[in-house]
Amino acid sequence: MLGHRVTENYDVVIVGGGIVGAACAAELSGARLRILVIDAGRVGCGTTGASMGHIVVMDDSEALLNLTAFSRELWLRLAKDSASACEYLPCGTLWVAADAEEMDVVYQKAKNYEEHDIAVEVLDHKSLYQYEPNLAQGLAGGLRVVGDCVIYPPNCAALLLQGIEVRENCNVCQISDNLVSLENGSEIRAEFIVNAAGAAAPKLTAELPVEPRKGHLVITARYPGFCQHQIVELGYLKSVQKMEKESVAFNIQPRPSGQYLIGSSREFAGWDDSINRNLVNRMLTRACDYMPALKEMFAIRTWFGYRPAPMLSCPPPRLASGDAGAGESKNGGDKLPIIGNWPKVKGLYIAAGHEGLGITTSLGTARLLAAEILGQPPPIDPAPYRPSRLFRENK
Amino acid sequence: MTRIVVVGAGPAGIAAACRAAESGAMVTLLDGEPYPGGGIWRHSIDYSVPRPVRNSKEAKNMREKTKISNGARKAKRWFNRLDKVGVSLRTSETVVDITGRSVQVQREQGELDSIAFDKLILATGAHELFLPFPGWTLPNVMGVGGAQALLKAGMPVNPASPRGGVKRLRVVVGGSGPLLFAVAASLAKAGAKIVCVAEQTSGMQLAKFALGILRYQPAKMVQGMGYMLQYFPAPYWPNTWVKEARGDSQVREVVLTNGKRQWIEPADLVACAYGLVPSVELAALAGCKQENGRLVVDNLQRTSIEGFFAAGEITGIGGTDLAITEGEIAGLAAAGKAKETADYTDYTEKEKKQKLKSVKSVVNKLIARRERQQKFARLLNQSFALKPHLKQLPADDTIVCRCEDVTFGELKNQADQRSAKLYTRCGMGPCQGRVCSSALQYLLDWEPNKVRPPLFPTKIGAFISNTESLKRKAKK
Amino acid sequence: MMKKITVKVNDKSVVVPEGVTVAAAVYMAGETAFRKSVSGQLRSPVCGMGICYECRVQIDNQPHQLACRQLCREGMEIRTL
Repeated sequence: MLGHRVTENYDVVIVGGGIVGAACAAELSGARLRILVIDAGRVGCGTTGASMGHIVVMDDSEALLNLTAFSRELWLRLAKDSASACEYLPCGTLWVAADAEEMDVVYQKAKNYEEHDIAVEVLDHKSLYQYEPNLAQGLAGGLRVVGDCVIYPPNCAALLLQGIEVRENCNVCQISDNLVSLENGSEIRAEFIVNAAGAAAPKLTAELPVEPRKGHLVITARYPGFCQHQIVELGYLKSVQKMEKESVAFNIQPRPSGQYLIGSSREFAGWDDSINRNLVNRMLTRACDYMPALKEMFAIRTWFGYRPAPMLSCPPPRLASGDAGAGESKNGGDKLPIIGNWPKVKGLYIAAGHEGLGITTSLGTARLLAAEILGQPPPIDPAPYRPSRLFRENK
Repeated sequence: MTRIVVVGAGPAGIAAACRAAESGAMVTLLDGEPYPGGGIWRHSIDYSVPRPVRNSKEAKNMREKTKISNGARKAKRWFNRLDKVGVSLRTSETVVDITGRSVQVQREQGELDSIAFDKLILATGAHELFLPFPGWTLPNVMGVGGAQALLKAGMPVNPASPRGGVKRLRVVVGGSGPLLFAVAASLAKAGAKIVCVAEQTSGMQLAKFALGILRYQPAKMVQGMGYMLQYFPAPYWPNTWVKEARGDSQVREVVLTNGKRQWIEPADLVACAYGLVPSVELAALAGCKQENGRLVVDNLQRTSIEGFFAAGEITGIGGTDLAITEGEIAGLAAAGKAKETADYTDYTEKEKKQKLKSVKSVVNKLIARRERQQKFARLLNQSFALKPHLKQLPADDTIVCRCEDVTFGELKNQADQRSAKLYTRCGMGPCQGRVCSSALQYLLDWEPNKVRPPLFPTKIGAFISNTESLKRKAKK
Repeated sequence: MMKKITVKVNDKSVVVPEGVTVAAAVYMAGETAFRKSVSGQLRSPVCGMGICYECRVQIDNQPHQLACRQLCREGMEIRTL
């Protein structure tokens, strides 16, 4: 034996104790496997702790709709059993259309959702204000997605990790064939290794096309009753898809405490760890455009997290809305997470690149991954998310 | 002209502002309180000192009509000096953020303003250390400095009784430090009935402290005797602390203990705090180096950031006189009047002493004075060091985070401040952990969370209007 | 002689010397509780200097105002709890 090197053995080592890693651990825990979750800090305290916890069905593409809808179903089941632990708030999502053009998008989205049995309500000008009287005047209408909800991610991560062995403040420096090497010099052998390290995943799996996409949030003091839904402007979708260096979109979430989380910003700034004041101000300005009464509220804290953004160079698939996308763009890709076996390292599985949908899709991701690891039939078609799609064009 | 912003208008900030302005700098002095003076020279309604003013001329007119009682001649001298030098004094303006070379202040009405500077002097002072004990959340249980501040602001301690006449509030003063003494005296003077002063430190330590005062600051002894006479014949119990406060809609009685036995005393008001902790939030946000919760400064009060100075309690708790001296040095240094004369950072102790003697500059004199005063500060901190027993104060159901009502039982098994915040909401409220994280640092040795803007709750509309006005400025 | 002004604390008129804080006016009105905590406990100021946020009251219909940090203005309507 070399120096102080210790070798341990587990069946599964999951690197990353955020919501995705926690969900994977929970999913595999029924299978009589020895599981270890390793986190560089504290579980649920990275991007998971910084996130909003909006459980939302997205219809950007067929594959994303399938994954988010399947995941939401799993969340609703979990929340039913542990509503208070999850801080479950069945508030729905309200997509706001600013003008007639955006109303057309509302009708298109309503059609998409209904085709997939997702309950929605199209709101005209009048019914929009009946639901949310504090919205700015002059908006065209909206789309209410009834079953969407809000949970509190750190608590959910802790809940999912109950009874699972966790090692915190532990840095992994390398993942190789069935081997996890720790910074302290020791090693862990495992039949299955899951890289669920969020935006840090490429530090351990170099070829993973994932980059941190920083997002800021602001929380207000308590003003119970100000809004009832998670309200998002339809322009949000553009903010996500356009790969601009910086973008903002209006997004507000009621918390059970009577506080409001205000988002959102997207920014490619690497691991920069400062508050981007200009961007926060732009974000708040945008929010006040949609809800002017926010101006009188106190913001008590600002923070940020790093979304693990997939930066795929494969061609984007056909969007569910019928739009073929902007053709092949270097950074655009299919915007889907990367879930499944990584062919280049023995025993390695990836659960990464969830960008801003990690909380929503964590449970679905875990099901897909567990099915693959345990050799069970997949709950939904796993092909669109498989890592192998990254290598297709290299042929 | 060098633009200097001084944050905090207590003794250190005022001294810094005066020295800098006298040296020809353009000085802005900021404070979130309606009046300058800080915790120690706090404006009192009976001796209405400075009022919020926007320019020095107005300040002068105002100040001429005022007088300072309580033998605070030193305060008066500094206030007068401040008037004369033409400092732009901006009260009711709280610094909520700092970026590059500008601070963002929030006015009472919630607007934000950016103030650019070439040099910054941090004189943000200290806040009290509140250790949670059962019942400390009851109305009328407050800090020691807190009671002093509220008293000066006009809180009656002998309110008219519904049956006619006045009802003298019975006050228990507890915790630690020389402030207990002073505050008991002012409460007594204002008409309260002091039940007792419960000082956690031992009689032996107090005796050592008294001897030290005689040696370093005999004038303070006289002041202390004066206090003693003012609230005489209330008992002063060393080695005693408040174990519990009991009441209903407010506190009615306290349980005191000396570690061996416990007894009950009646109380309508409890003033209890365990000394001071430096208020380093702004400095931390700016990125200044800290050590043990204090700001690290060099011989000329320079922090680790070029152009940023610090003076007073944020560099370590040391009392008013030391704060003034540090402020003076910082003010001179920031204004460029202390350049090479006193920068002996690389010298040995012996060389430094020789230099200080041989070069007769104002700064050197001040540095020598500061060294003397630091001895007193060390004595102060040793004499009132907290007993380990106090770590046992909170029960499992005692609330620690008063904003979010998080109990000690919920917190004690958390790993650190960050997970406590995410999993229990501790420190998530509007005070942003200022009260609970200082307590938890003592109780559980937790490192405080990273400081994020805004430093104090800020109106959302203010961020926006500030952005717009900045844009307009840029266009011009 | 100090100028007096009138404010309302929970609809009750209180005459206070000019220059006193809202917190002082609340005490002068005979109130000891300023706010209700998130679990419903009564609370009053602790620090007196704008850091503990226990002195929060409603002033002229604006919630979350610090009573210790604001001076009384003629006609101000203050509401506790």
